[in-house]
Amino acid sequence: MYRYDEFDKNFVAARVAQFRDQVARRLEGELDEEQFRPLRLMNGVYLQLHAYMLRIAIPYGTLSPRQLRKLAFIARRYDKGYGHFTTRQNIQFNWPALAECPDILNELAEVEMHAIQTSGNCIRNVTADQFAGAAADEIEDPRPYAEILRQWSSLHPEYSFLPRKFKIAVNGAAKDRAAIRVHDIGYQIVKNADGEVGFAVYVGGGQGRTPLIAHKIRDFLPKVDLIAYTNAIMRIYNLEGRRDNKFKARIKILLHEKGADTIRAEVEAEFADHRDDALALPQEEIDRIRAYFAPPAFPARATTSLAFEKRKAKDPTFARFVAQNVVAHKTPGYGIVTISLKSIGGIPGDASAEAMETVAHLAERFSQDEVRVSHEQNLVLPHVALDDLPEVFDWLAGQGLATANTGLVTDIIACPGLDYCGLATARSIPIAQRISQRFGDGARAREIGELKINISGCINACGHHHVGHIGILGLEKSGSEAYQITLGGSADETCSVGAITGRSFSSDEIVDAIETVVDTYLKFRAGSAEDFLAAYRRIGMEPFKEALYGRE
Amino acid sequence: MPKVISANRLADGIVVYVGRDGSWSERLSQAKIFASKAEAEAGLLVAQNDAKRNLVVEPVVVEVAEDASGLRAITLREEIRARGPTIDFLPRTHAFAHGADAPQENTAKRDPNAVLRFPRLADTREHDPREHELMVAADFREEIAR
Repeated sequence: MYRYDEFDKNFVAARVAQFRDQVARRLEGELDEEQFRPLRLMNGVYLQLHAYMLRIAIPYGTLSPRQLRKLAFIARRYDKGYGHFTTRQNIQFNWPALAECPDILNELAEVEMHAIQTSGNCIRNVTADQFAGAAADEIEDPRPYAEILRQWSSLHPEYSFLPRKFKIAVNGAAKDRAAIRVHDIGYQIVKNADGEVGFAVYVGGGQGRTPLIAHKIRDFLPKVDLIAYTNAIMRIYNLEGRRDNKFKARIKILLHEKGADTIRAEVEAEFADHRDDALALPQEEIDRIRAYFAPPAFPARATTSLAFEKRKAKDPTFARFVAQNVVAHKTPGYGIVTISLKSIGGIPGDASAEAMETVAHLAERFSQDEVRVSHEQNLVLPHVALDDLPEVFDWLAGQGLATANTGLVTDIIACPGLDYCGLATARSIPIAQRISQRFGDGARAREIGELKINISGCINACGHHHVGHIGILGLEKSGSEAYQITLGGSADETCSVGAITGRSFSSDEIVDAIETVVDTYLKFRAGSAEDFLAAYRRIGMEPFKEALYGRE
Repeated sequence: MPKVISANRLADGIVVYVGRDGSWSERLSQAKIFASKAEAEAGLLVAQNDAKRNLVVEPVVVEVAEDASGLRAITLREEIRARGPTIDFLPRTHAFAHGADAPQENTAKRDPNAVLRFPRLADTREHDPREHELMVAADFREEIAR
């Protein structure tokens, strides 16, 4: 993985010192809140409902055990013993004291982490799919390119005051695990007819108040042009993005209003104008960065592991864990393990300090010192030998981290919602907990099959409800929480925005309503091989509407 | 409708209320009640002075109601600010044991269909200024839903 060089280390240290000074001046009153707010936001410090919130960047969701242990330490020492992994592969702490934030940032700097550009109108964390560098279906590891984009976009003077936040994702397999089509820019690694690897470029996706699916503006971008082309897009956005209306300031609105063809032409023209500038990515530079992400030296393993097969045969719980949470690795004899942070009835995406330390330990012993954070709020051990899987499973089970529900109805994405967030209109976490408890961890959830429920506590859609197979949006109606259901959303390469079923449901009604939706699916599906999304796309909204509302 | 004045403490972001003695208190139960809008506005001006003095940020007027169990905020949002998250967020050891038994200590009566549980605080609990108060309210959820 990428390691800071001297320049990075000095830079981050200087940044912490600068923030420490800003905090001191704020506490003494030299800076008032108006002046200070943008400064603290530039270091990822939000003021929420009950406390400050610190959002720490986890570049493309990749962590070393050392970093994860540091996060556990921060959770214990400066917070209430836990952290929350987000839908952008970052981590949030909900209770840091402002006065202690510089110390926290100091701790993070020691392990090459920071909270820069996790807020504000700048380019945010560049995300990638959580199985990067490991998945059997990968064309190429997207992380080197995410790292290149990160380096280029960090504190870029021209792009520090964009019309609005800007989110980029890079995906490395044909299957889109990074939700690139609902990002401002999505880079999809592809191979052209000559077998050359490059990027298909998607622009203008996003969720929030106006969900829009990105348009492909380029079929093939050679690697050498990655930065120059991104630069062209950013320049057009910076120039033309609306600054008069916060709710129309994202690049998706620009594409929507001017049309993809127009924007494509503008970007291509801008790109052509600056083609030969210093932004060309020399192959040596690409190779240098790729070297940081070279696959670890995997001890050779037999494709089939006797220990693994024996355990599967005699332990149905282990077998179910493997079936649901382990996917094929590109190297024979290895598997990619998803650690669910969605225990039944638990808080989605939250991890205690103890859980983090367990995962760090497992990463060291069994996963080549690597952990990933998925945008679906789970953790991943990307390189586990099948021989070791029984032991890894036992460790996880001992810590309550072995819920075998990846992609199932209980693997719910939920934003923090009104329990934490100052922007929220309703709570999301209790809804997730109740739905999870309703469906449980047994045969019923397995019978339902893949079903992604995403819950947002307000229209800003941080819970990605627009692209949930079932989406739930929490609103306020006459002083009470009300929940709107959408169906048929998808964040993968068949990206779609969910459609609203009809009138919203009260907090008391919503879990029953979700169960009605699921039961309707089970009733109409063409056999258990047809998952929820496929069934919905075949039968449409009507059967669900009728089940929910009758002949109202 | 009676009102109180609330803000976030600058140094740690914790929710505080203008207290009866003029200081800032973390407990809604100790908040000074302003009977009229005019009084509340006057109180807000004083609070804004404290913001200028870097004690708090963003003071606001919050409507409350008084009943048998004491003061409570009218809106869910303000109730959550007063009492903390409605979820059991503090990790327990083996916090994610699935098929979990009922939580070990200090919980309100457990409704199998509800996950809103408030740890019951012992009355002698030492006041930790960094820990937001979570109050026991067995029927909290119903009050909010109303």
